[in-house]
Amino acid sequence: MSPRSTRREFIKASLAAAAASTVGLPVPAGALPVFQEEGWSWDKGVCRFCGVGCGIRIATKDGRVKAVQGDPDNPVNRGLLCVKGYANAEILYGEDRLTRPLLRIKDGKFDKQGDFFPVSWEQAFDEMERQFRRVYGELGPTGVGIMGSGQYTVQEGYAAVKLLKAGWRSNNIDPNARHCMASAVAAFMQVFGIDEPSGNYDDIELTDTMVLWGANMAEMHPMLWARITDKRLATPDYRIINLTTFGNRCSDLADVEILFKPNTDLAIWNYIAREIVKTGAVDRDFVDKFCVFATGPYDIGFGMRPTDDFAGAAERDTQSREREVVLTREEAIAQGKDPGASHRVPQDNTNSAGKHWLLSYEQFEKALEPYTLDFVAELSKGDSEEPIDAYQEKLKQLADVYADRARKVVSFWTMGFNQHTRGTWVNEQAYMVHLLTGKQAKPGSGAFSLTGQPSACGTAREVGTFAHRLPADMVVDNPSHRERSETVWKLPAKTLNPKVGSDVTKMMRDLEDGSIKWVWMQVTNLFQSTANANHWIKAAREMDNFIVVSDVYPTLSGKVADLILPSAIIFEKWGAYGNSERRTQMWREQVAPPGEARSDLWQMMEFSKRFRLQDVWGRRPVPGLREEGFEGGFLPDVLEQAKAMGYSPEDSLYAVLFATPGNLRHKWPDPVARGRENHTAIHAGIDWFPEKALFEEYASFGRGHGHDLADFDTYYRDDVRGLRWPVVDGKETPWRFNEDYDPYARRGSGFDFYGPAGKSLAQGDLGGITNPEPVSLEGKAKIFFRPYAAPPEIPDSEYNLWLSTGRVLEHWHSGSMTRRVAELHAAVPTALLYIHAEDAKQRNLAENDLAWIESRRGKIQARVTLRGDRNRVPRGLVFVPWFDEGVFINKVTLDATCPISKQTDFKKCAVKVYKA
Amino acid sequence: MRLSAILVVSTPQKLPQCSQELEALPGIEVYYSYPESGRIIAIQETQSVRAQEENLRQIQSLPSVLGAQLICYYHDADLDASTAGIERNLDS
Repeated sequence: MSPRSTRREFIKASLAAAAASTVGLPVPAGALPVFQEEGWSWDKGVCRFCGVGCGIRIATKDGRVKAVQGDPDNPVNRGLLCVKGYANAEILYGEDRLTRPLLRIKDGKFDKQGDFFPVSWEQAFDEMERQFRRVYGELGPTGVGIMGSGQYTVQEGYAAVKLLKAGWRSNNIDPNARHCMASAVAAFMQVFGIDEPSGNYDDIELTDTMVLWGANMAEMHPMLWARITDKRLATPDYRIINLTTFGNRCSDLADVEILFKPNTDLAIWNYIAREIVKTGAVDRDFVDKFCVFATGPYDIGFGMRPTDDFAGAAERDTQSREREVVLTREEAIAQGKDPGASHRVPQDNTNSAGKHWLLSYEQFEKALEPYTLDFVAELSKGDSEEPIDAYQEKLKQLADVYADRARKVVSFWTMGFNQHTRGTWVNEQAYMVHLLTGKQAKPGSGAFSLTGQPSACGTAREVGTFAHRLPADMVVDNPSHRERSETVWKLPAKTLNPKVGSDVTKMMRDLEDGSIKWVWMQVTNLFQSTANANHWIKAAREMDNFIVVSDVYPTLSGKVADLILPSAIIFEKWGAYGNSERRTQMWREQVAPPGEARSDLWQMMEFSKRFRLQDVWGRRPVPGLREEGFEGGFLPDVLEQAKAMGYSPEDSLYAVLFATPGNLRHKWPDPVARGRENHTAIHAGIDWFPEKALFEEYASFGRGHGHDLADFDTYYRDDVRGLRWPVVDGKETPWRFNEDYDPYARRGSGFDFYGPAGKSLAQGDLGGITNPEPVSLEGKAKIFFRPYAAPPEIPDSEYNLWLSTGRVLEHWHSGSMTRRVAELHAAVPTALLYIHAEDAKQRNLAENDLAWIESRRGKIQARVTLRGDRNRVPRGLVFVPWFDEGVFINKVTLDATCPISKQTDFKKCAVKVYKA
Repeated sequence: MRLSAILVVSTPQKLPQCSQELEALPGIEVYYSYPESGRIIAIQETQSVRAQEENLRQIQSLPSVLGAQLICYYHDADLDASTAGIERNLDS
């Protein structure tokens, strides 16, 4: 057999096995042959797309990526890839790759109304610097910001945080991950005091019950879904329950599909908890030893602007609910209030939404009392055509699997929970049920938040590219955390700004009201992905501001920008990603970026050379600082201290933040490269290894603090396919908080919820705090009571349908990469409107008709689909994917957020649909 | 060389006929069949995306086929800068 036919046969076998697994069909044992190829150079890597973190093998020859394959040695995907995974090579080679900086120019100079023209990097940085200095001089550190990404490499995210927080003394850095998993983070911090899941993907095979809550894994986490289907088909007692607001591909395999009304997941969790309490299924030993009970205020608003000064006329009625809410009858019942009376509730805790206090078990039990089967079934049934008896039976089955002591249960969720105006609450409710039953942090049992992006965990969360964060779960408004960061970063005391910066939605609002005027957007397309987009595009184009977008292809955000910088993509640079199960994986640079495209790390290091310490470390005004105990409301001048530390005011930020004596010790070239290049080092003209140096510096934050990473070189070993942190004494940690597996759990404890945040609480009851004396909760997790709450916008007689948005298997986020891959584009060329046949008929709409989808905020057109081959929506709800900038659904969506996590609810707003 | 894996949905009764009809098409190979559920995983080999789409439509129109969809694909060796020709319109 010739090598070519060998390769062909190998690929055919791989594709057939991957396809069968993806759709839940069994694959014969030994179906994956081993493949050896003709002179191509193979290396290991990780997929560019979702949060699963599949291992891939990359073949290169003559400076070009020739092929990718699933990595059979990677325990995550075991050699299989989904339809996007195979596109990891092609995404490098779209014909409209950006290869030169592009600046808006008119009459030979920058002009916001000018057209894009290619310029040199020097000219690009000159204008970027001029605009930065203008804004920084006018508004200080709070006038500038970076919009980052859960697709940053670890090192890029770390460089961005350090440049912005330590260099420019601003906290306005926030990633697209805010839209993706901020609610999961907030709940981890509130419940466990430390971020990220206790379990891992092995739980899929170790459990016997899989409950999906708002997670269409068949399309969004396909290779994990392949593992679930393998297990389900091989195990008669394995049960899958799919809770969702519309039928999806997971329903095809699920034993039970529960279609619920938007937001009523809050009530369903409380029904389950009530059943567990009433039937004596509480694991008293686990709860008494390892848990406490807690609650917080209900009147927390919806994360909208507190003023309607910026709202269009039609937006104002929804906006007004930020200040006062009239409870629905169901909310009154759910909060133990008289359902016959009218309850007008001023939203007094919008700025203290996360506060909470201890509750007694008796109070917890009392709070659950209203959540009877009858009440919850009536409230939550999502398909009007389903008989109530049948629906009640399903809810009972659901409660039974959690209550059954003999069953292990894994609950998976993604955006259905996280993108929710009570996203933090509903995450906490999952832990409530798992902790009550002792089904947490054990092999095969646990509530597990799946993340969406390839490094939302590894970079956004662990590095801390958020407005409130520092590395390793530390926060800017904690003096000891600032002090520790200033020590690691060798900064004078009080360099770091204690005032939490703007989250990504607020940064858009800040552009609109002129309080931020300089933004650098990296590795993301936020003008397409942020809800209520008409406001932000208008603000970016019409206000006095300067928007820089670094990207690989021309995106919608690029077109909104004033300056576009061409970036390197995935295998054109060195990098590391961290997936949903705490697995850190790294790859080598495989090929050079095209033209003048450069890594985001190179861009930040080069731009930092333009600032001297005296430009940024002087006395700086920051609104709100007086309240933080900073004299006169200013960040102090730290230049004298800097001099005492050996710095000169003339030193550049590059020298102080990046080319530090410690970092210069990591020399380039390095044997770990095995002859591969590093364009970042080459074009920076340096003899040190920035990706290795920055990784090691970053890792020093977490070592010994529950976030231990291995050393850089270990991840490149041939026998390593990523490691799940904490990595202590060379060993990864499969289950956290469990003494048998986690070196941080105290010996003899059994379980130790050792996360340090929020471990001292006042005591109270369902009405509020009754005894402010704090109680220590060391080693314990919190079981929260959270009530059902209605969303801020509910369908009415005019806007009479729910709108939910989401993704599709074939496209990644805003489609900037996958829409350039012929196969993926051909498979799903445009975003469609999924609508129930009866709802369509009422509106005189047939298959493929063009329809308007209109909300209080905007309207767009999409083609109707009634086929139901992918998503089967119930009456009263429509679904539109958001990958397609030609079907710009975020002009329609509502920018309401969870007030605790600040994550937008993209799953619920009210629209009307009519023929175009 | 473009290889793609297609899920073909038939019925248990029509599965043998379905296999025959698929194998009669150029570039199609039946890889796995599932008699109980009436499903097939087929691999097709084509030279272009257009041919790939055309073949898929042909499969969908076979008498024994209820539905067929592309599940994954492989485009080898000559990554020929395929782009999607995306229309963009900021004013929509």
